[in-house]
Amino acid sequence: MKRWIVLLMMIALTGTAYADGGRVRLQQASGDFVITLFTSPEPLTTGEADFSVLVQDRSTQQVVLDALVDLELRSPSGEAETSFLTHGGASNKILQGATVRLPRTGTWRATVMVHRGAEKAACSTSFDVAASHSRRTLVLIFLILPLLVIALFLVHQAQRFRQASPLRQDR
Amino acid sequence: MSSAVQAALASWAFPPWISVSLLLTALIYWRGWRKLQFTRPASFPVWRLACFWTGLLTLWLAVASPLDSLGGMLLFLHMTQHLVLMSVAPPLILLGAPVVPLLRGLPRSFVREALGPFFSMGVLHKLGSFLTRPAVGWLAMNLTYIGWHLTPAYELALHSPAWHEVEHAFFFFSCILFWWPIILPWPSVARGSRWLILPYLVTADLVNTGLSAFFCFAGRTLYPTYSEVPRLFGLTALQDQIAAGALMWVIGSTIFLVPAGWITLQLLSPKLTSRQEAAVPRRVPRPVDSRPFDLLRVPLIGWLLRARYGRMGLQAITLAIAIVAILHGLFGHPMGSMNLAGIVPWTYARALGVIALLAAGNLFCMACPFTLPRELGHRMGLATRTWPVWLRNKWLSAFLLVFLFWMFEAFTFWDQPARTAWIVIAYFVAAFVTDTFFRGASFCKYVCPIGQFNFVSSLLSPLEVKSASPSVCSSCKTHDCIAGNERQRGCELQLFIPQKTGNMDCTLCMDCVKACPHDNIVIAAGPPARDLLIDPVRSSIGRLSSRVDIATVALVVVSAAFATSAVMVEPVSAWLQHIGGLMPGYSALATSFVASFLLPATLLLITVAAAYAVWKFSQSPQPARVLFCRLSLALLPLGLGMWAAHLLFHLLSGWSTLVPGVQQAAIDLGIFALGRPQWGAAMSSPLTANGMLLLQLLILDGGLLLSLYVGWRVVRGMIGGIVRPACSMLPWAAVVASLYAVGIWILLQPMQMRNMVHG
Repeated sequence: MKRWIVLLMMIALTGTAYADGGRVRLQQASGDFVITLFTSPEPLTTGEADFSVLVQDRSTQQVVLDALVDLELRSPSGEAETSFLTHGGASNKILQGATVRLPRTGTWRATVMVHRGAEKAACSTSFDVAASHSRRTLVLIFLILPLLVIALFLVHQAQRFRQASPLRQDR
Repeated sequence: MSSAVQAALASWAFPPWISVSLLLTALIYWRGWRKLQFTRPASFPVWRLACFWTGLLTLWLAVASPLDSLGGMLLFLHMTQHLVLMSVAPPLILLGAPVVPLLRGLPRSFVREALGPFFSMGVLHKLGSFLTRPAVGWLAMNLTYIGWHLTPAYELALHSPAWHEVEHAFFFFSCILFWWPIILPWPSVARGSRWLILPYLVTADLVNTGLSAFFCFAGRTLYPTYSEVPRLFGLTALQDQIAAGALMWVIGSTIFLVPAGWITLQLLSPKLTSRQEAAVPRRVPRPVDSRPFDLLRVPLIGWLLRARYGRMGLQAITLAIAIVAILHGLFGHPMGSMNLAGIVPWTYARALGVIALLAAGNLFCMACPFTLPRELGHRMGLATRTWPVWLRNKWLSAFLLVFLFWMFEAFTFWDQPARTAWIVIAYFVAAFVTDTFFRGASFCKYVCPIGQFNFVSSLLSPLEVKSASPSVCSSCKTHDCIAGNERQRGCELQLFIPQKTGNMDCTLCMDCVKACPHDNIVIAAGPPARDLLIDPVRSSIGRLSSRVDIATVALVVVSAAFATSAVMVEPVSAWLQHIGGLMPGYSALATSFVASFLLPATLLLITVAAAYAVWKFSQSPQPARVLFCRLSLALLPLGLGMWAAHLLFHLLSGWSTLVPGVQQAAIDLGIFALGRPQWGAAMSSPLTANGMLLLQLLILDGGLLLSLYVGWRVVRGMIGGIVRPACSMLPWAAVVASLYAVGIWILLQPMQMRNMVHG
């Protein structure tokens, strides 16, 4: 029995971890650079999303770390918002990233603008944003959690009651 | 080293949940291991502790290091991560023989009361016995290993963070089962011959060899994602795959074959084991300090709490902060979100106060700045009157608490620094005037609304001031803890330590600790909310079950938790604005004033009805009032959960506003040395929106479960049995469930960013 408790504890230990970067959404050579745009989660849904960009030198394929990267996101209704991507915004430090909100479903347009000194490059892509289920799933999990604990507690109480019963009869 | 490699090596993440879980597990193990050092030093040498901690560390490294960040772009790093999760962390953790240390490390009462009944369940015994069979472990590990490396499964994990977590859980857990029969963590015993472990390991290595060889010699990339991502460090996708296969082959085989060799040696020379055991030095370990926890014995903190001017020092600091906030509120920036009078009380103090109440005790009252100037009032010698008998209850403070909540909303304190400054000044004046003319701590005990909030909330706190030994108190003739002596006054709130139970009315002022000539007072720790499970006669309070006024304060606290959060969410806020627009100014103000009192009154009526129904169904011999009072207090965990969830949102959303707030205050007050505030940087929150929601839901779930548990203990304590109390408490449980549902609904709504700097 005790080993079970430990096994359960160990299950609880295996927590969050996922590959940084996400899906390759765009890879294009533009100007002096090769620009790769990653997005996560997959598929993209309304709510928060990670956008990361890898900038490489077009001729040597070396990672370029000192370029300035802006990301313009244009919503299906045409509103545009620009974010400045940084190495601090990505856990993989060879990428430059940011977490942005995608409030609407539909087809969005992303434009990545890279510049380093006089060198400039830009490339665009479109992507679809679906309705989010992650928030609903999260809520569902946390609604089920108390029910599970209550069920476990009832088993616990019944077990205690059963253990105590023979003693009562003895008395 | 190139800058790209440097950047790659700097790609560390800090997964908060797993980091905290691992740290907690490491501490629990260490606590249990220390105890076992006394009873079984030979079975638990230092290397077991080292193995267990290293296992946890490698587990953390697998998910927090660049292995995780770069694994999506380089297969060989991803495979290294899996190798750590499967072949390094599990055996190291099992070498720590974690079963007994972890159980000994947990509080004994928790193991006995909460886990004990499960230990004797036959079905769990059988399941545990089944899962730790060698055949099950072997199949679990190898099927997991092969299954997750099939292209569709691997691609799924690469594209979905959630599935990636599931994959890691499978790897780790199946390998715990795999390594269990090999290591046999104490007190497990071998089933069948140990010789069978050799084919067990060798066949597992054959599976590993087959898969690794396939990676190396497939001649094409197996996972399309790695062909799509940009290539790093000059490796092509195929070269990367071959490197991953070679790594799995060499390291994986070594990990299987070295234990096989070691076990063969053991089996061929049985004396080796006994020689090793004999080699363990038989040292006499230092006994573990078995005295219960006492905060006063903690270095530095204990000294500070006992020091003559320790509390006054804390109060002086908070007084200085209050004065700066008042000055900035009156003369500084008019925006509440950019003024210390908005930031300090509404973003920081409220949230930290509630967190302190839940995690430790009534630290706000301990460091309260309002009671410092009243010392001057005491010294004037005018405090000759006793507080009127008819006001020696909590009704006045319950009224003031509702009044304060109403003022906060009606006069938009969060957005009006000058008004906040004036209310703080009014608070100082009220405390000063009350305690200048009345003896003792009349303001704290009977007037202060913040104090009452803290007092009822501290019924959930784990820390409690109490006597160390009742026999010492019973032989004490002077009762300095309440009467005081020539160098130290006694408790001004009339709490007599031998009869004091729980935290109600205790400000943690430490007067009793300093006055006790026998050094017989401790600050002990216990399970949270234990105060609500018992109903003894308490010093200066009586039984909580007879105090309808205290129950009412609790209901005010609970109802305000939901009301103050609700008025911030979009639908409620829009509805209130609509209603307000229909009325002229003063009439809207009057209506909101009445509504502020109607809300707790409604909860009070609902609780009365629920308690009456419980009383009827249970046929309890106790009066219905007892059930009402105790079930009202049992709502506190849920209410405090809602407060904590709501205020943490404010704290975490505006946690970085303090520094620019201080810079702004300095500039507004004519000091330019601190530089200009960077308000743009103050927008960041340490948690994502989903992370914040997860934390809030977790806290609210905790509150719900604790409320239900307390209610269950109250009802069961009155009538006994299982089925009858469970059925009887249903009306009250429905009230709890309804409040919980309201709380969930509020947390899911878009929240107005009051007192926040917007981008």
